[in-house]
Amino acid sequence: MSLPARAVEATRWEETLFQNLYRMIQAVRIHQDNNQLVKVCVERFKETISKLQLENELKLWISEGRFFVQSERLHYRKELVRIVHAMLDFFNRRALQGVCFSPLITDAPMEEIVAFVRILIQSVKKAAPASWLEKQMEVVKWPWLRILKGLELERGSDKDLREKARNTYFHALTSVKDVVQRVSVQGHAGVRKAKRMVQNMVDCLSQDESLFLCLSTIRDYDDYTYSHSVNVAVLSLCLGNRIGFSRTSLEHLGICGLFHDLGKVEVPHEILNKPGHLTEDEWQQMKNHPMASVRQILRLHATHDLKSKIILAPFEHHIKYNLSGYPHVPFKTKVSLFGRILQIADVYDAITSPRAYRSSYLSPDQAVSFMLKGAGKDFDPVLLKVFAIMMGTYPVGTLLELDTGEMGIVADYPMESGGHLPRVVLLHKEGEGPYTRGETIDLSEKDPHTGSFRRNIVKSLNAASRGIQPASFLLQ
Amino acid sequence: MTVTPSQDQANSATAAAKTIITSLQLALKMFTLYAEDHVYCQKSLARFHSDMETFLNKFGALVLEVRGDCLLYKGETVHEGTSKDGDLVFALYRDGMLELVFMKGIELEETSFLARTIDRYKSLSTTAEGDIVTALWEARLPHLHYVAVDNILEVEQGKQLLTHDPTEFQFPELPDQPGPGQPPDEDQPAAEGTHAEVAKQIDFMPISPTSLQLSSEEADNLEDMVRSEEERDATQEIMDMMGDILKVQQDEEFFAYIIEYMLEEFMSSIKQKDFDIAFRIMQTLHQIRKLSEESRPWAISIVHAFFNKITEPEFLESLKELFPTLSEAQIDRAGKVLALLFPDAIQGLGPLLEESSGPIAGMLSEVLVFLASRDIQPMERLLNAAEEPLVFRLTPLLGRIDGKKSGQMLFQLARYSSERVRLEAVRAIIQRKLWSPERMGFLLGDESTLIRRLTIKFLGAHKSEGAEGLLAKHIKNGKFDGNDSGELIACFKALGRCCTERSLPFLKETLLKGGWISRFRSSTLRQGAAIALAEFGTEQSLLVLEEAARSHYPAVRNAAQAVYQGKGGEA
Repeated sequence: MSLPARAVEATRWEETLFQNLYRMIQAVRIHQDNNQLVKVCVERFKETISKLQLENELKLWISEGRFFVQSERLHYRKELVRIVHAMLDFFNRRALQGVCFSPLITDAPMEEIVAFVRILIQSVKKAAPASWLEKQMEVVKWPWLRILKGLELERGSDKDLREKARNTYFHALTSVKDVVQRVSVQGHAGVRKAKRMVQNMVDCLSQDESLFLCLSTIRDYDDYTYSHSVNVAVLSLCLGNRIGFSRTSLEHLGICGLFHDLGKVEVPHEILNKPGHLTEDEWQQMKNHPMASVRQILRLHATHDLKSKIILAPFEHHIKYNLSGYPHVPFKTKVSLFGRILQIADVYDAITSPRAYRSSYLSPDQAVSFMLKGAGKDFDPVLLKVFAIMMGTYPVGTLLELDTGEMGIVADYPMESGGHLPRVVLLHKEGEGPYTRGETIDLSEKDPHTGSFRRNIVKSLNAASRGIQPASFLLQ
Repeated sequence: MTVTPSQDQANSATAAAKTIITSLQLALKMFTLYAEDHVYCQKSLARFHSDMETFLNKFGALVLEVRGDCLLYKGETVHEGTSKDGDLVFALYRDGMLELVFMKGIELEETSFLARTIDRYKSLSTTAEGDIVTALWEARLPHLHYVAVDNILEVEQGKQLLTHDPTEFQFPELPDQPGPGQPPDEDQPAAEGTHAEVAKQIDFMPISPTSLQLSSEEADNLEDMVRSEEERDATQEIMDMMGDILKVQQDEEFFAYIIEYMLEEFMSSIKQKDFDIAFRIMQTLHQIRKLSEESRPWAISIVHAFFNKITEPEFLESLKELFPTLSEAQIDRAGKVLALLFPDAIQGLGPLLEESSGPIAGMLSEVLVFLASRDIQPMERLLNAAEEPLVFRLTPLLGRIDGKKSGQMLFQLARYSSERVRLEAVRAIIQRKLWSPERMGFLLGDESTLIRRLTIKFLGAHKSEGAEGLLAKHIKNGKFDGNDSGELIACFKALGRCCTERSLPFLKETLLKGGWISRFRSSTLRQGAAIALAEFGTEQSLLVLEEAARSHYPAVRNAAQAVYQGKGGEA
């Protein structure tokens, strides 16, 4: 057998193993232990492992936000990207670094394997899931299984995570303001704090992508430029993470996001916030801001190396995929990948953000739909697809009207529903009072009697026009 | 008081933790005294690691809590710090570090990294780009974890550090309805662009998940994009962007910032042997200089400052270490870069030639010739100031530089005190065919035989009354070695080639009568005259030769016949 063929074969069994583990978890989650599908899934999973004829244990684990099988990073076809992200999320939520299956698994009773998957699923509800799992394993003492506990201090409870996410956003906002103010007043600024904030953001993203994405729904009339910068950083980081950037690249991308509009310090406030149309001269000043961002980034106290990593994308973020847009770049042949990511994030946030003077903004799902029309012209078509997949049919933060007459905000797309139907935070309103947070429901929940979904989406609504700040409900 | 085993264990652990901090402190101290690769530093790092390993093996994970003035292990103070810049505790606290967690299995590289990082960031300028926490985040060491505050801003404001930030983030309030706004005119853009306006007119279709499925080709492209983004060097694109900005920039300060950035990039690309980038930068700046000639005089002076900086001998001197490490292809590319320098760079590049050989010397020579061809003055200044060895290396280059000035310099160098320089100058003069007999006469009296012979031969290259006069005079009055007739014969031969009818009587008299000559050298002189007449080759000169061949005097006859028989010539 030639070497390339072996490599292909190797990829296939790892993928198959991964897919079968995912399907087994899904089947156990939905069905009873004696369900036929569960049996089939467990058998398939065992079969995949037995074919490997293992002499030592098989280790499936996460490092640096990537799956590894034994010591090799898992390479997978992009068709599996959704499954891989779902599994990453599944492991991360349980502070689980990995699982090791010994060759004995081929002889393990089906009941034990199903029980293991069920324990795994339940662990998410525990305060310290990995520790709880560890204890459970000590009790059952299955010889075919060993779990690798991750660092629980990195995760904490859901409440802690929400609080951390809020603080991360708030601190990032403060650091952007700090840099902008220093740049305006002193003419220069350091980037240490911004770097720290972006590192926190990357940590937050790796702990819970949905929660982190939630932050991008925060809207602010008064501090639009600052919140826009942070939102663009959040969206860019999520997209960068989705397409597989390393932590270091994410760090640079995040800084690009925070500073992409730094040049707006040179645009008069009256122009930035001018209702209606800009004069030709005003428009010229506005169009100058990407170039001004370059100027301001050059003035930052940062090493040449860091500047070289963060200077290009802010310059390019208004240059469209087909190289139209501004600034005019006659000799450019391509916008950088960072630039294309920023562009998507920038436009998405801009068109979904209400402004004090403007009524024309879109709900998240409308925005994605609108942007898809610009694929290949305004935006990189492949990146935009990934962005749309990431955001989901109804992006996190979308306000929905349900067929029960309820209103809710999309919180995430959990693995439980296969990633197609969201979990929604219901909103309550009594009389003229403010909206309050209700329970979180899963739209994939079915009525056991009828077999149909309990709730269905009627349409999306514009949250900001109702004075609703989705993040304030999602991050409560 | 009785000490229980568990207390004893706790006391031992605390003592061991203190030992670790002492080792770390010692390592930090060594860093201030010695270079990092010094044996003392290495030993202290090894000690730190060994103490750490001992602790971890005996007591398990080590969690150090950071307080404003001390480090705690299980509530016990294991190290007291000071609030001075540069202090270990101060540095950790300042960076918002709450806990350092060392895990079993920690490697020497990890403990060394920590020590180096603390050393690097223990004193932090207000403009620092990173700190201990950012460095540890980036390194992501497997056995060294940390907990730090979320908000570093509060540390700076002197707030007490807490694991959880007490500040409640207030979500901005949104009014129930957006404020009044006029519908924008499609011809005039609004502040943040036109997307939202356009979107208003769009009918939104639900997104079909299948339409978002990536094809395998798209998936492959995406993977390639990410891989190449992570591996690529964007410098070229950045430089192109800078170039585009410079072309239109009217803001002097911004222009200067960009030039400064490009200068750093240039220096760094040279260091990394990326000569293509350096070439592109220089090419761009030459273009900008041209573009700015009429419209932006201030821009020219900034661009000139760039070139002056990279023309300085200090920078060029640094190339000396780089050159021996270059491949032939890199040498070729380096040459293209250096050729774009201002001619003033000759002052810095010239000395590099002195110690170079092989392809580097070849490249430098080409560059120096190219630059001096644009402006010879820096070369002149260098030659005037240089020591003999450098003058010796530079002189041949003048033979490849056109222009009156370089010729003048060669004639000056032909008078240089060192023989080898004079020789190179004469060779260069001959190579360039700088025909100027009146300026070469003195060379006939040079102490070097080779120089004299080259000069004589060169003077015989053209019909020239000047050369004729010089050679005739030299034959009559010059001092020749009595044992070596070759040079005298060469003078006659050259005279024959360059002379006019004016020399005929002199040659005739020398051959037939020998009146003016002493007996001492008479045969050589006759022989020389015969050769000169043959070389002259006119009807008159050949008649004189025939007459000599029929002479009654054997000496005269023999001289002429030797020419006929082809025996006459230089020794």
